Amino acid sequence: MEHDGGSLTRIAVLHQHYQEARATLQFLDANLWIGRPRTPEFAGEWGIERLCAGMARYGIQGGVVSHFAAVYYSPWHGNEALLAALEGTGLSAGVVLVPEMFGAPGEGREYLRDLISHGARFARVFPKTHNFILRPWCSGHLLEALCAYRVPLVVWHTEVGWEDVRAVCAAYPGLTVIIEGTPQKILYYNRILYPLLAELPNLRLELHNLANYLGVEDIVLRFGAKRLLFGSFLPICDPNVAMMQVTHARIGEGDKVQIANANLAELLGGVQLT
Amino acid sequence: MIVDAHVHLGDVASFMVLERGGAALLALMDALGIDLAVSIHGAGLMECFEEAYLTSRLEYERSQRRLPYCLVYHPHYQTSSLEWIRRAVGQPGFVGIKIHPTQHQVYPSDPRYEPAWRVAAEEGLPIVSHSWALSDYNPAQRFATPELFEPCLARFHQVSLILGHAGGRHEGHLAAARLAQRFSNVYLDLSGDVYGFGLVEWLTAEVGAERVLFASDAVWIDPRTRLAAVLDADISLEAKSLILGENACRLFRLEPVMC
Repeated sequence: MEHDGGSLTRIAVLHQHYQEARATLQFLDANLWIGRPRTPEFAGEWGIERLCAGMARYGIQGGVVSHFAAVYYSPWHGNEALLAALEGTGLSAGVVLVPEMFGAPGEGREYLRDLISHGARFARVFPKTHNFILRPWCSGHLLEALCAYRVPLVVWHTEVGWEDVRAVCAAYPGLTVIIEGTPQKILYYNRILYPLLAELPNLRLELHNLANYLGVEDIVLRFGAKRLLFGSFLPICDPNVAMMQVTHARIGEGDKVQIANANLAELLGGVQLT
Repeated sequence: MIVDAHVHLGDVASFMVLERGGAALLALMDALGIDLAVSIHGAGLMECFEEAYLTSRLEYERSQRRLPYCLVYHPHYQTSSLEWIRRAVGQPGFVGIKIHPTQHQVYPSDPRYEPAWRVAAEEGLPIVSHSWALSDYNPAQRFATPELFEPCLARFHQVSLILGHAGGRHEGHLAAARLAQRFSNVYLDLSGDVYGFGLVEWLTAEVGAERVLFASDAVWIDPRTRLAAVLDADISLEAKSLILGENACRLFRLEPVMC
């Protein structure tokens, strides 16, 4: 088949510009995974070596990794496997927590401190999959422990009710709550999200399945770049999906840097053991 | 040319659309280097056929031919939806027929779709259809799984069928590729939140780059989510050229317009 040479050149130039913009932004990724996903899809199972190679392929400089075994088998087992895999990599851990780890006030903090001292920087919860309610009466001790150590909380919107998100953000204003669009795009809920973002300064959105047409520009304009975090959901999703929403966003360069890496770096640096 | 083979204009009731018109879309297309976008007006999907026809024509003219359009055939409103399609046939900018078995909750093999296939066959128009996999959170997706199109394809082998979203989710992608391997008149578009790692490379290997189309689902989903996945895919530059525009130009018989 004959191809138009001008068209090929144009595509090559567009690709090159994109790659350069991507490299400039030095992405840090809030949403990396290892282990066996419930549905392997095209990527299959990735260990830490393969994940690091994948990150290098897309110019991802670092980030937070979680383990599928902590979601689908056991949080304790998965967290342990995760921390062992991440040792010496420089990557941070996104550990999975459940309420019984924090049975009474103050209880469980030793476990969380141990996780933090081994690299945990994000806490993930799966209230639907793990059958609990993300409200103070059920998860209060867990949430208080996260506040004490300034560990951000990450939750998929399909795992929690929006009223629960609102209640937790309001009850714990010092807790950063990050919503991810797994496995359904967040786009459908923007009539709920916008008032929540307006009301709750501690609410953030991760980008891999935000997807709204012109959504990055609009959220930055209304609520500021601080509310968005780059995340890819690698190796389930293609990192380019979220990356070009930042590299080619019609926002200021400083806002792009915030979304690409600075917001995440600030959250990771804010976790404290004392 | 770079062509987004599947966009929408207009509103949708179920969530907030930030910009509904062609002007904002064209501005973004200019910024990204996209020359043309094939639009399917949201009004047509939601039973407002006249509004879809009139607005699509207007946007085509206003855009200086950069927004050609498909019109929706609705199996519950066969006469009225077909009336506007017939009115558009032969007019500049009208390039295809859209069906949406999930939205309209009618299986693709249902005889109520037959008039659309007949018009497509008579007029040499492609049919664009929503396609998806079985879904926990949207049971109506069962109306649009790829294998359900087999009877129509067997009867109307001269009609090109573009499966929007390439089957939607992983099981749907597998089924869509199997369908394309079996029927040479099946094409797969990348629109929607179909973000699977390695999807572009896998589809290219399974069905060939000449059967895959770059598409976004704007103005609901941002085209940047799809454009980068094709630009940066581990496939040849020639394959990217096919996916990003050559296939759409051939299927929709698009006139060359460079932004």
